[in-house]
Amino acid sequence: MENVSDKNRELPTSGEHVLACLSSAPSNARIIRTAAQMAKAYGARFTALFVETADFEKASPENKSRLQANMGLASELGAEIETVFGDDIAYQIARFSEAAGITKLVIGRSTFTKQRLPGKYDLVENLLAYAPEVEIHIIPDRSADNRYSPKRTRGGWLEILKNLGISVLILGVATAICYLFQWLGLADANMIMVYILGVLVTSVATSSIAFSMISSLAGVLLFNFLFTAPELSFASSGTEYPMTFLMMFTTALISGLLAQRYKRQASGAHKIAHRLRLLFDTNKLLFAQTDRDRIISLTAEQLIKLFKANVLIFDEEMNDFYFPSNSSSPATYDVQTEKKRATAAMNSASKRGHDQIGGKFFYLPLRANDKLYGAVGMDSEGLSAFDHDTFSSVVLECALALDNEHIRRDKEQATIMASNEQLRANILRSISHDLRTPLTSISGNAANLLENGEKFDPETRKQLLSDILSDSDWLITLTENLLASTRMEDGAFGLRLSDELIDDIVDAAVGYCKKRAKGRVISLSSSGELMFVSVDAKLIVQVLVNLIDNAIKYTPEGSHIDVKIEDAGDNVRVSVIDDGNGISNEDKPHVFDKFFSGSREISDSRRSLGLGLYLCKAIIEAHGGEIRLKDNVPHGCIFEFELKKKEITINE
Amino acid sequence: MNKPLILVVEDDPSVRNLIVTTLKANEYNFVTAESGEEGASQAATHNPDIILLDLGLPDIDGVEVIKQVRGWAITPIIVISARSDDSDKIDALDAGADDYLTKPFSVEELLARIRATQRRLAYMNSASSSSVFENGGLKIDYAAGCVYLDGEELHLTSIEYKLLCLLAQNVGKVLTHKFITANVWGSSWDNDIASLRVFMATLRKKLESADSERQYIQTHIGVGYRMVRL
Repeated sequence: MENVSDKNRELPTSGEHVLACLSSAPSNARIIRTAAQMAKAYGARFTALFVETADFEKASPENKSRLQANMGLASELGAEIETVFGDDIAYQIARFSEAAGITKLVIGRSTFTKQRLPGKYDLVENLLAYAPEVEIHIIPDRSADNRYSPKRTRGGWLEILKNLGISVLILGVATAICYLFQWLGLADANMIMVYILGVLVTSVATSSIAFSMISSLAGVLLFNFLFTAPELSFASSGTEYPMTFLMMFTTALISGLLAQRYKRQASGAHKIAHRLRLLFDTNKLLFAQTDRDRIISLTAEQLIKLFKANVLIFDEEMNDFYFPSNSSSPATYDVQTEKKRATAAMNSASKRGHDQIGGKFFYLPLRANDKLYGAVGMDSEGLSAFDHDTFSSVVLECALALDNEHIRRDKEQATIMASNEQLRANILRSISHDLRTPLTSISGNAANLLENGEKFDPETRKQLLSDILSDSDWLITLTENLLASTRMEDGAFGLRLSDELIDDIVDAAVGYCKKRAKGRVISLSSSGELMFVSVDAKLIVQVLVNLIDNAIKYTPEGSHIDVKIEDAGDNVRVSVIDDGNGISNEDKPHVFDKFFSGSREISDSRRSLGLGLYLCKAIIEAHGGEIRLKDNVPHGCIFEFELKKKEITINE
Repeated sequence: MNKPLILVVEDDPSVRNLIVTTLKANEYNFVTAESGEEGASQAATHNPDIILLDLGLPDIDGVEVIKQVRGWAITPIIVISARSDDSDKIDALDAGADDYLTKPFSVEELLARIRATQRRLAYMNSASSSSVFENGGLKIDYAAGCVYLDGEELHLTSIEYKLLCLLAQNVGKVLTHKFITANVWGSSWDNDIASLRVFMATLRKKLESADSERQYIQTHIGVGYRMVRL
């Protein structure tokens, strides 16, 4: 069988591959441990194989849960668990060994030897015949019969009665047809064929070896009793009849058994095909997803659809469970206990964990490329070995999808970091250039005043001093923007969000800018409606200060700058409106670019770093908002941004 | 008028020089200290009227100095902080500071803060036991539980009244969100702070409806509120 998990396992160092054969026997643990030690000693890959025979479905619940425990142990010891189907256990093991490149096989000696039929080889002999190149290690096992005993579970007698009914009915029909043939005068051979056909049909309908044998025998006896001379007697006159009966019995039995085997294999093949299709679907679904939460919820949906069982997914990143909403039955579990179980499953050193804490879910860790993403738990009551295998495959698919998503996110993060790095380098270069001018002016003017202060007339002195002041003001603004941009480097993670009234924020910014309006009239218009926004208040104040500063810088003296707060449905809209000369069409697309300072005439001829508007955009976008530039009528421009409103409940 | 004595605790010589020059030019008396320990001992020896305290001192944290001084005196303390983070200001205010200034600050701003503190001192000395609070056009009659603005009675909800009294009793002082919510609601959850903003906004609206140029309550974004002594 194709091993889906292979692509995820690290390669062994030795090229050896140890296989342990799983069974539901309590003593199977010893075999698993021996195999694990061997695998460790050789540095080999370790696989545990369970051959599910058709009878296993009828096995007792104790047997099934013991098998589950054994599988758990094997996975805890680092084995990959595989399940194959077939009634010929030796043949299945040999075929799997060949396909998986098994070099060492560990098996219990007493397994399947007790009910040995004369002439039938035991498992080991068969294995030697089928796979002569594999080293077989036999673990002596003196404990009780470790084959799951085919005890009838409840409802078994009902099934026997049902099968008996079917057999009697079919033989009755066969006998009726034979009477018809006799009346038509057809030869005995035809009647024999009818009985053989009857046995064949019985075998397929009952799926039971016992009923195949019984109805073969019954067919022969009926034929003997009803149709061979002397009729209505078991005595037979013809010399060839005993031979005929024997041949009839043998043919009926063999064809019946063959039909049964064919039926079982077909059902096994059907199951495997079904699972492959499901896994393929899951794979397709999961790998189309780029969203982590979606991967997890899809996995849960898929598992619920497959197993109709309750599913819990523990998300390591959130440190909490994902609870699927559409569980098949109301879930009854203790979240804390399940969390402990999930954590234990994840922390177990093995590929899969099987822990001893109470709780009802069976957990498999979401692990891919040695990274842990969480654990998937399923209410595992009544799941067959095959189901477990499917479950672990789906879990692996999910882990791989999460790993893919993680890698993609890492890459994105790296890209953002690289562009941040680039931004920082650009800022530094730009700053070192732009700092020179105001610093030259400040230090030059101050030195001048210190040396020649008395020689200047008061007018000149005042001019020099106001130059110093405006240059240092420029440096102060720059410093604020630089501080804000270092905070923005972390993107949305650097934001210190609090619920603020938008009016308070705008008020603070307008109040600050009024002091440096330089002859522009700044007004604030608000509806007065109390609207909250969840923002980093400092940064939004900075945005407004930059926008107003910008308006001051690019408008002639006496211009009006209005800051307006509006309710825009789910959003709050804040606009900075000026009636200056506006922005030319060729500059418009670039105003928010880094280091763009425009071709506009700056009113006080002070250069600009081109950082302000870029920062505004970055800050507003980090808050999930939007910033735009529009034209004012008849002239001037409007910078407006929108932020999402926050609903607040008030405590009286 | 008798100019008050101001203690300047600042380790950076040029900023200290700037402050001292400003104080000298405005005819204030002053003493200086270069470290936290020195500042605390100067405060004890000279018993200044106002303390200007830099938070980033070389020896001990400014907040530590506030706690020491608050051990024996209620001298108004204006902290000066260079950090853009609000949390150190809030810590200082909660430790007992009255006001704060952020570097870089202008000379006018520094003088305005000192004058506001002086007015507060004068008010505290004259009206500490009065049952009526008056500030500009605002009058609170604590005994009657009535508030008047320019002679007209204001109708306030009980929470608005509590807030107004708290601000009035600490006029001139910046009160942190935590301090206000703890005093009005007895708790300080995030939700209380949001509620505080709403009540403060409605209270301000009622106080300023008559005259929009006159602001009784200042909002300090990220820090708290202050009633201005007019």
